[in-house]
Amino acid sequence: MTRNRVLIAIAIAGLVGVLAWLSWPRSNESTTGPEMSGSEAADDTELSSQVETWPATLYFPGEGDLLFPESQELPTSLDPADRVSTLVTSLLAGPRTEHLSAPLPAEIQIRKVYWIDGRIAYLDLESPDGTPPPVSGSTREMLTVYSLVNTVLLNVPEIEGLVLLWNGRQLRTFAGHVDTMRPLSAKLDLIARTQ
Amino acid sequence: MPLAAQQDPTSTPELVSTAVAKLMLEGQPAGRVAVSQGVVGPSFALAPIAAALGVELRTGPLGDSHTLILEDRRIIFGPNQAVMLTVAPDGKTQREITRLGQLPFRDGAGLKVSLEALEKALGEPLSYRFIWLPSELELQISRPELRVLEGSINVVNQYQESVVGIEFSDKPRYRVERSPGVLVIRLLGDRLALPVKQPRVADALITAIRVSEDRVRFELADHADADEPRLQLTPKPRLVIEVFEKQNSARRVDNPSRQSASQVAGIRTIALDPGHGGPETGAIGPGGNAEKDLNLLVARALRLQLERRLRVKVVMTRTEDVDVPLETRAAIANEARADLFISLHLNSSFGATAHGAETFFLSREASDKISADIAAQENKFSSGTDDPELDLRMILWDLAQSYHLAESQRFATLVQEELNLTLGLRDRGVKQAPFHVLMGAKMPAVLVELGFLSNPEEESKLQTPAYRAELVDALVRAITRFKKQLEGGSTIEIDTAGASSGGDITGSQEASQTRTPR
Repeated sequence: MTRNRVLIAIAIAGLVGVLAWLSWPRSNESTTGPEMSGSEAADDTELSSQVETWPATLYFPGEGDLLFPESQELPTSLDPADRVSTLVTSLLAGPRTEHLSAPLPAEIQIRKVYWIDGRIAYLDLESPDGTPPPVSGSTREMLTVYSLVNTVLLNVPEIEGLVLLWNGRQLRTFAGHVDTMRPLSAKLDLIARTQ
Repeated sequence: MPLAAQQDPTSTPELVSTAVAKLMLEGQPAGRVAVSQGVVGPSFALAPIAAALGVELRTGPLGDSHTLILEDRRIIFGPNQAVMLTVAPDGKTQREITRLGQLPFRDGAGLKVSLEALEKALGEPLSYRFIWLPSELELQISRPELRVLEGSINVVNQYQESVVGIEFSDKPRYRVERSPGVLVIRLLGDRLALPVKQPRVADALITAIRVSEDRVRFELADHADADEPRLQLTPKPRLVIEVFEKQNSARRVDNPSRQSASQVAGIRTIALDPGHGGPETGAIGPGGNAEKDLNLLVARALRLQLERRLRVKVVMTRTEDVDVPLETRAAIANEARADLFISLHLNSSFGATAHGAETFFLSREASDKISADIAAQENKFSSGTDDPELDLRMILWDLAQSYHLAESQRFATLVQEELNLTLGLRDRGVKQAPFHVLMGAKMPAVLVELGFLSNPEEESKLQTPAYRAELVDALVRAITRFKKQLEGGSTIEIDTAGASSGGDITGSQEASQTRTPR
């Protein structure tokens, strides 16, 4: 019995010890991630403050079947492809203004943005499981297509035409109406006139 | 539009980028090909493609003409030449002039041609299909799977002419070949299942019909000739060939079988295009109604009314729930020599409140990108030829584009007026848009959005036959007014200045040039 009591006392003491170790404050330990030195943290702060932004205008479908401008501060880049990516990513993420709509369902993403070396940019969109663009009437299709085209062309002056691809292919149309076999130009008459 | 003499025949089309792409033949790497992206589409260096396909490409002594040497023909291209010539293997006998929508040009990589030119020059004769994947910088060349089609032939005699119908189990890929007294339908990449059901020929105009697995050969009597075969897609794919007596060719318009159509000057044949079909549902209403079904119901009712009330010939791009490619829809109208093309659609938008009808015709921007560029290029070509007939055809073609656009605008205005007046719908106006289905039509062409399926109230109305009948009535009245305007000999106002890309156009925006209607 005495031996058993000794064993139980040792077990309890061990348990208390473990609990004490677990609950001991460890303020001087780093996080589980890579340790960040003070200088690196300072550099990072400087870097983020150095990233320039620009007042981009995104065009979202809205009331009256028109495109409504919405200003967003977006990080800029010398590379026009990066700017197109940023613009379209923000466009696909949807508007911040009420009563406006994202041009495409949330699951649609950018597959690639590129051009060969000229003034025509290629925006390749990707749908999950390779599904085709959403079915729609001509008005919705026009708003979808020109939400993308106007947003890109009216913000990136280096680009004069936008070719839309879907899962790597150039479709005749997205939904049976608007011709997407050619580089598209901005369509200004779809933009709502602000007071 | 500036004419040929003002163009620089040595200039190349505006290019925006160049690159070297992978060339894949039947899934295997077959070298690389230089590609240039122009404003109207990509162009590919011809030499590496010909080499990959084992086709000899000869260059003329001045380095201008480029000739593809195929087994049964030679195909000649030239830089800045908007046509390609097909000649017999002797190199002299001309067989065909094919208009190219995109101008070939020469740069450091040699002669570059469009996808369209590749398909016509190498794709059709050799049964290859070209697929350009810009995102992969890859040009794929492959032979489509060989199809074996069921076929049957029938011949109907009527009024000194014989009408031959070749019915296929699927849409055939074919080429028409002619020589004196002979007309051959040669299948490209397809084969006929033999034996083919055919009549025993006892026809004064057709002396023999010979069928093999890759061709149907018609031997005509000395006094007979045949029209260009027409492909009808509904109810089944069917090639129709009209064979007639040469001496009666000038009087064929008086044939009683054509009389009903020819009674109405200006509008004799109307092509109706019920939008979407098959897996292409078009818009889906909140109540689950598919646009394709309602479009077809409206088109059928409209066809009936037009045939009864206007006694015009109506061709439909589809009569059942099938998917018809957009290019084919315009081609059906062109083949039927329709005088008017009406594409019927129902709309949808973001949200459920959008409502009303709107009518579109092809945007000047889209039209310009196709027709102006092509016409200018053709004018360039025509400046370098001594063929006055070709010059004239090019100029007439150019004029026709402007003429059709103006007529399309006028007809669209009438449609919109009638829809607004009759139904009290919200006037969304006449608009211009780069709609693909309108691009290939060689006649006045509009796309009518009869209402919003995304609006529950309009969807509910569109389900009722009575409401659809009112829509049909409005369309019939618009067509009647248009026909009367043409018959009445009024001048046609061509809006050359006001049709900027996309703004709403109304009938009041007219001016500048006048032309006499047909």
